[in-house]
Amino acid sequence: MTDTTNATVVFHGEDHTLGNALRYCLARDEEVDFAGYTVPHPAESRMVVRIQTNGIPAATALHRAADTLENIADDILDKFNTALNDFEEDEDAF
Amino acid sequence: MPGENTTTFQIEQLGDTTNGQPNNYMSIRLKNTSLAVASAIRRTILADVPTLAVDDVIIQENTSPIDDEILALRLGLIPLASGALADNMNRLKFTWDCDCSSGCEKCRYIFTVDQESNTLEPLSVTQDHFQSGDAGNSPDIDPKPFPVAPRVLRWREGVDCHEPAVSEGPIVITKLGKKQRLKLTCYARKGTGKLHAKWIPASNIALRRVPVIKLNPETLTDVVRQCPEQLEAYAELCPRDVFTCSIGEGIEVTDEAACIFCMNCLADLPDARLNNLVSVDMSTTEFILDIEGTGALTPDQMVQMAIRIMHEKTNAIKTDLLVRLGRQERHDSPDPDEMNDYGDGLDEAW
Repeated sequence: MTDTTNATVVFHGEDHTLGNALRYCLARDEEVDFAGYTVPHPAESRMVVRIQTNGIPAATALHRAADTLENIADDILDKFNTALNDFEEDEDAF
Repeated sequence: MPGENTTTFQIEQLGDTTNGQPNNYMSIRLKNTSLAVASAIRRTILADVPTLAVDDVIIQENTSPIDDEILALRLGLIPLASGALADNMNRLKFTWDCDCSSGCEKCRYIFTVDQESNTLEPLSVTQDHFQSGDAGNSPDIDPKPFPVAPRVLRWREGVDCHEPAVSEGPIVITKLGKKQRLKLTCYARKGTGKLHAKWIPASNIALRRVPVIKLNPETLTDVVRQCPEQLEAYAELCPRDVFTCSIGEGIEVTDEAACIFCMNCLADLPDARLNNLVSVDMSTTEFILDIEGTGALTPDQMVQMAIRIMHEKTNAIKTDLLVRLGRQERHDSPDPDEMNDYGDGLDEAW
């Protein structure tokens, strides 16, 4: 019987960019007890995420975090484009 | 709450368009966000946003004073306009993703340079002598890449912002004496900053926390009553002119964002009564992102591409996770090698 509420996931070819963002999304999840990431060695292109949930499978939590991050990306792209349009309109007004 | 995101952007400044060239400076204020998201944008621009750069140089003839190797290095560092990748990053493929074996029009862009000097005056071979080898290039690459003129951001004394970009003339590759000749073919390829710094679209990108500077009203009242003459000298302590002192009315915070956290306003004060007059903090939810481009991409393109890359990466994780989970359920006794990458491969990683 394996415990599915915790997992250590190794991401190859990733670094702090994704690690920190994923950890942030995991930590915001109320069903996640612990989330941490590490880049074990700077010369190795490898990033490790550690998850402990309070019941749900850790994989579900990771999937949810990736989904959250994807939604954030969608959302900030829209917001950035809006801000850019607003700025250009303001410039044109002068 | 998962899924909730309150990030908003405010464009503070967008560099001026000079000589019909794209902007190369942008200052953005990110509000109600987290360091993780803000830093991910910054790091993605540095490491993962693709641009074009000269990657292979075939030198047919070089009688110039500069060695072949140094020439190739210089050519690599010349920024190439990569706007063709901005709306569709796959318009040009990475070499390793392409089906071809030794380079084709889908994964590289060809330039040629052929110059010979016939005068005693030295001839400067510059980026302007780049010729696009149209015969070998895909017409889909639009707008066409071309070497971008250097744009120098001038920092003027007393002006608290970047001046509009000023062109310093074309980039000189080498100079040729009489009868000297330079003939070469360059292969520009798509790459990212992870592989080599020549592919980084930003020459400078900085993320900083927004300063929160507050005056303590009680201390201010005391100071105005007891030693108002100290206030002017106190305002002078700040090298960035964050405070404005008006006689009789005390002191005001007028340019909060200019603060560089030097803490001169907190340490070594001339009068003990000035202690606790000001508190300096960093916001944890508001950031300023300053982007200065090389000219390969405009700053707004960089941000848009970075966000799209973040989207693609997270999407790939989701897909991969589902595939791996499906595979895991089918295995009664999971393959230990595979499990190292997922799930209970704890021994491996910790």
